[in-house]
Amino acid sequence: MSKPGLGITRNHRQQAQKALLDMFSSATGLPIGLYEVENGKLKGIFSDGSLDIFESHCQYIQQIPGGKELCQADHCNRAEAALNASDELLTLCHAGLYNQAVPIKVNGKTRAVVLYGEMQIEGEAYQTQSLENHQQVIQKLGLGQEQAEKLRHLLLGAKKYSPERLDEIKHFFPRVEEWFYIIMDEEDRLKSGVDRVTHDMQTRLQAIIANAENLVMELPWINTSEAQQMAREVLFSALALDTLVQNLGHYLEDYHFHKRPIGPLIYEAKRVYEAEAARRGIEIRIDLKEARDHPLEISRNHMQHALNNLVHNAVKYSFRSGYGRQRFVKIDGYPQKGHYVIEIKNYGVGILPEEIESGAIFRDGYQGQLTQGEYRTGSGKGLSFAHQVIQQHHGTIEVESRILSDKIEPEGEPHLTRFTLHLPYHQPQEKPKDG
Amino acid sequence: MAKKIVWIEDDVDIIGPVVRPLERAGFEIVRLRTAKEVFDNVAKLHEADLILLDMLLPDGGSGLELGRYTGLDIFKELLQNHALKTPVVALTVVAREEIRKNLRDLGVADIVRKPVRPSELKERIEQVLKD
Repeated sequence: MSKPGLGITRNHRQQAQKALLDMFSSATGLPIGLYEVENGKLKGIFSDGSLDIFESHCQYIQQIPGGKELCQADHCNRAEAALNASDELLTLCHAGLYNQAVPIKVNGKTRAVVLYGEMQIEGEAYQTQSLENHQQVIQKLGLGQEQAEKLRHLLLGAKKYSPERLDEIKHFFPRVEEWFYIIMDEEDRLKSGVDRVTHDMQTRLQAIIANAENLVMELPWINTSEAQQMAREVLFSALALDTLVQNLGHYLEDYHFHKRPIGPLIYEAKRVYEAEAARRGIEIRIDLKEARDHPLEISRNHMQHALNNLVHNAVKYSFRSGYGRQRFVKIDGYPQKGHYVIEIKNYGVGILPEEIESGAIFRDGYQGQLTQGEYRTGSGKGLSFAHQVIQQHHGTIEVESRILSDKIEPEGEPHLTRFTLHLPYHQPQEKPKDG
Repeated sequence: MAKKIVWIEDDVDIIGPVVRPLERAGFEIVRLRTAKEVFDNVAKLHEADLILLDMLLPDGGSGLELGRYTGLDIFKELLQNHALKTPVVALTVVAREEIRKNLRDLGVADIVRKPVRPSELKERIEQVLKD
């Protein structure tokens, strides 16, 4: 299962496309549906069978048991035909109404197919074919005489266009098509631009990370702790920068859900931030129960970065060890009522109750009021990103933060902060859209 | 005897600092920089214990789209027309799921996202060689 990423582009692009299609429907009086090409396959994006604009003939068939499925399969078949065509096609639906199927090409590739119509066309040849299909659908659905009569009546009452009027409509559509092209091309440019910037940044980061780790681990002539500390700082900063760059890419990436164990993602988040935690005198402890037995349906890259952001926050906002006390970030995982629960706890800078109650803490760009000085380092995007990822997985994320004692430590008032994620094992199936 | 790794990667900046620790760990690294060099040196690929394959090479398009994914094309070509049996570890900065799936379906031994720490790459290589 796949769905659009969090980025501005795809969601906004689809809204703009929907507005264009609505405009076309209003101007022509014809219903319209859009199929997008995703991974080489067509996927219905916009086609609302509940609209009044749909012919009564179609609405009647869809109410008959098995009718809706026949209509959907027929729509897909006609869209598939246009996908492989060089130009638009006049197609006849399984129940006897005509549609135009238009492949939308961007930069030489067919990116979508639009179907519009549900009409009769004047002329004996058109009528004959229409009635042939009409007879076939009556047989396929096993309709009785009364139902067949009603369907025939509705078919004959459908909008009827002359071939000349159809040509006028066909000439109008390219204006819609032109906007489709502009919108999709713009999205391609943005994605491609982000890909290139991300790629270039990560290529440079590769050299920094490798050289920094070599300095830390391999070169014996660095024998002062100060020099090693500096090399570690470079390494940690480069690794953290890498995570930010990846976040940038994932904002635009689509979700692809597959069954996977969650454990390796949690251990990966620990691995990424373990060194930074150690520098602060903090240990990351993990205790997962039954994580291997039941994989979760997740979009791996998104979930990895949500977990990375949460673990990084826990590390970043933990007080350094002091007073002989051992500090730790604790990650627990356990199954609970069809969900897998992940708790991430830390001890340090807290979150105010009003920030939690209002949801401000998950707002894009928001920085917690208690984060001051060295703790005010984030962009305010990490939690917002994690929150959106969990929502896209139909999960929940809760936060609690409470003061542990009255004692003020050198780094401030100590809070125990806990983020609790409830992730469903299975994603709900997408409901097929009517049309 | 030192394990031989063919690393197909064009970027000097990337490969230099990562190769050094691998060589220190006892691996022999043979570098190939372009798709052309790969197909001119297929015998070296058969002899190697492992191949590290960058997904983006200079003589094959941007590499950022599936349709022009050069590393993938090279891998397919090596499988189909050169009966490659040497395990391949794919290196990619583009970690998109559809790309990972394509690579897994083709049978790569591992997929390593760049940037990678030398120590991690060494561990992943050792794991593949052990398997």
